[in-house]
Amino acid sequence: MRTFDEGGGERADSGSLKRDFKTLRRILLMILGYWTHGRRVREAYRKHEAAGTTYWVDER
Amino acid sequence: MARIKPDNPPPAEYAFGYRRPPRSGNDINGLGVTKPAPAQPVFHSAGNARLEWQALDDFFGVINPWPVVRHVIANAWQLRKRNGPVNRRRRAVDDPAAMAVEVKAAAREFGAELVGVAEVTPEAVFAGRSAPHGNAICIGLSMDLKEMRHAPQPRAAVEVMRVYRQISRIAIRLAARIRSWGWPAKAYGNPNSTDILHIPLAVNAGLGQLGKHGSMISKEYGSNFRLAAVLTDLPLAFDEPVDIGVDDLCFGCRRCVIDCPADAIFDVKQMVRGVEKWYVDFDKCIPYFVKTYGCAICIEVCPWSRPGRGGSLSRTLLAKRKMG
Repeated sequence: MRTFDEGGGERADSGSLKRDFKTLRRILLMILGYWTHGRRVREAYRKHEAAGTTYWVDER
Repeated sequence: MARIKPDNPPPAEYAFGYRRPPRSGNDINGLGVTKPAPAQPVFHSAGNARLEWQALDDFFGVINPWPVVRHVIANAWQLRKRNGPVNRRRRAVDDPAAMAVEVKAAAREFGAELVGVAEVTPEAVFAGRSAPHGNAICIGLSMDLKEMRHAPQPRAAVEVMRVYRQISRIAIRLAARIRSWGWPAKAYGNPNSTDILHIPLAVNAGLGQLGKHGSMISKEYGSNFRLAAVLTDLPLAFDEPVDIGVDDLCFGCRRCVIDCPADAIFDVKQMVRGVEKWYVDFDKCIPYFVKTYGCAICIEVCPWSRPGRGGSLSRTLLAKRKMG
């Protein structure tokens, strides 16, 4: 059951738990991506920068 | 306060690029197009849409320093509450003007520094997207100038994302308040709320005017602020666009043009999708924006961004115009 207080408080229900879980999953994937694939991209980019060559963003 | 100078800006030379360059962002944005048309999303996506410049956007996402990304992630987490169930007991609204006053007071109570209300017009919605509600409550929040003086260094990028996170929170709280009154409301926090264009809405809501550097200029904060919005069906009286004299200064001022390392700012207005307006060269701006994690030089060197300057500048410019 969903209830409201003045101020917009909203009680957790199955719908909001599902939404929270989906967002949490997306965020965990973002963090994982940043520290795995992202780290490789940052390292490759720095190498290209130091060598004066080009890192192609549309090639993986 | 002395003029803000860019903090050791790196040159507009890039160690990244496209093997197969995408279509020009200026073409996608409708530069030179005389017929009115809706804006096409080109960079900064929301959801699963793959945009023309998506590869560079993805690259931008992972080269940003962790203190920036941390704010992006926290923002994404809180924005899960951008929408929600609406109270079944709807509050009657007899006076949209009084309601607008109350909504603006609520927005300020939650921390907004600039607030205005505008109708959601077609030019404020991206092509192929839709706006769920007809009224927009536009809010603005200033950035810490001490941090922004470091633009285009990462410290300024952290401040930008901190403010986006904070203003999203304000929009989320305001939308929840409106839903508690029985009216649907959805919060739009930047920078990835790509269904709507915040600037046309904020201009119509009277928050400020579009400047030569392609960003908003307000009397209170110059360009040193960020935008968010709440879209709702709550009946509200609309604000009027303001004229603070931005064009009077921008026509003669070349500060942002000179200080832009990428040479991306046009000196004269351009025809964009049937409207003559200030426009920034996308293809020159965005690579530099990516290289410097968001740049922000143009908005910080703008004379309007000097604290306490906007009011007197506006009065002087409007008085000069009156005198002819």
